[in-house]
Amino acid sequence: MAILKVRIGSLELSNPVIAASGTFGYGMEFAERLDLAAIGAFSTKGLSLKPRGGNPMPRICETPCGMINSIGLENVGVDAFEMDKLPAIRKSGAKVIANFFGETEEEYTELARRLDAMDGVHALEMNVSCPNVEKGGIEFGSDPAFLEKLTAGVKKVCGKPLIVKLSPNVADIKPFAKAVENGGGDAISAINTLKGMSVDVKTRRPRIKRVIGGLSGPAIKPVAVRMVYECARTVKIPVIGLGGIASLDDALEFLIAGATAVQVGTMNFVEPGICQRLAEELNAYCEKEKIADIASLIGSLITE
Amino acid sequence: MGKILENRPLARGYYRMSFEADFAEARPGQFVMLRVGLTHDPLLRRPMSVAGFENGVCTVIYRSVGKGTAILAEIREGETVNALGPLGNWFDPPSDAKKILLVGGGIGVAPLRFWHRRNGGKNAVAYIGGATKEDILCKEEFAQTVITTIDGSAGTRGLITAPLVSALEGAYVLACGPKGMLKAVDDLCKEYGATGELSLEERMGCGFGVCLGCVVDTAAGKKRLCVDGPVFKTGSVQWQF
Repeated sequence: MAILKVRIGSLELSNPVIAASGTFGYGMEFAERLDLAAIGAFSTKGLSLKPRGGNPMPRICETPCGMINSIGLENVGVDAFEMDKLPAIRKSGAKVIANFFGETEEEYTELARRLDAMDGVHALEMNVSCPNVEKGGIEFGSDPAFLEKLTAGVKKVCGKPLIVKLSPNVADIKPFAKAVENGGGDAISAINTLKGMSVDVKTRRPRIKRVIGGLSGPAIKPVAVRMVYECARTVKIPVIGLGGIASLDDALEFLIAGATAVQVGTMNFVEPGICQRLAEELNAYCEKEKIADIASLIGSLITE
Repeated sequence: MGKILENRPLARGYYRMSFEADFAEARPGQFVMLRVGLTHDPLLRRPMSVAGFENGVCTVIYRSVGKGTAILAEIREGETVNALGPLGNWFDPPSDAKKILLVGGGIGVAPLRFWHRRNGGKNAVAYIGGATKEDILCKEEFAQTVITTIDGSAGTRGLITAPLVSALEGAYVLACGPKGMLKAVDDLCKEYGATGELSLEERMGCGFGVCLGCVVDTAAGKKRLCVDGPVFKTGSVQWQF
């Protein structure tokens, strides 16, 4: 076995393959489709203080090599997560990253405080980049000074590793990466979905009820690799890369570009066992290539 | 991955595919998510209602309406298909139901055909509607049928809800078809004293409850069509168009 262990702040993952938020439910939905303990970790559906019903239908549409979604952060709320979801997950041996979002700074802090205290939650992932809600989410991720302040405030109440998930819908992602680092964040995950839109030309209606949604899937991978590369060159904290990963080579691209770990999102819908498969393939690859420790692969991009 | 034993046109634009399933059983009303090729375009699986399941062979009926189903129609017998399933709940009429009406529109006949094959159905009458005679599928497979088409090319001209009305009193309805038809059936059941189950269809991302792309409003709150359905009791769906 090659050494696939990676560290995200104080959290050690057995391998760098993580299932991305919004594509993996609350974990147990995948219990019969893969071994939850065999993947690095999974990130929960984004949690809010109160349950949320989400956006009107239609919420998803398929686009070339991708899809657009506007779910609107529908979730059970943090109380139901703790009572109904977490006990079973705890027994599964999974490493759990709790993804969360608020509408105000106070809500972010309160959620972080709650999740930090929960046995079975190993790290927190702060969503400041959802394109599909009116308030909160993306607003907090579109001003570096505010993002730094928010990160610092949340980190004060959060002893567990704090990952901040960045939006690609900015002119330059580097100041945001720096803001997370300056605010004391333990890691960055990038990228969230790209704002996108699709029109049914027969009906002349948008194919998503809210017109604009978030584009994900293999279509966005080159944009994601570029942004992960930019983030990794800007900060010293780990960058978790995601955006369109569908194969071992895709995961390797992100790692070589500077990602310490990767997340798999949309492809969980198509191939529910993909995270475990990629973790196994990564191990086989390292053995074949005689890479003793995955660390030597991370950021190994050759540019000259 | 299952070997495709049959993939052929059933009527104009409609196909029937049978493949060796890697799951042991499916029940009428359940669906599978079929992967269309192994490239990323189209990316998502396609939900298909199970139209039959015997001796490990799963049958689906689909209409070639877009890029994905057009590719599916080109797959040859002997090649393989990747199916995730069986998914969702199933038709579950009470065992003492005296009169069962199977109401299907277009491709919605698929799960009704399956139910009929499983349960015989001496006391079941199939009401099958479509735009033209080409859209009336599987009619020869039911013991008793009532047919309507919008253009009058088969059966009575009009909507299937017209002949249904007089049969509804005290009946138990199993229906699958376009949303407009299902809402009309739902309303008529309430008006004429029938109960039953409606199988809804919707675009889906995953088919197993995590993408939240196929939610439906019901009397009991927001439900995921793929795992809380696709079959819902009459009177429970809050219809939105």
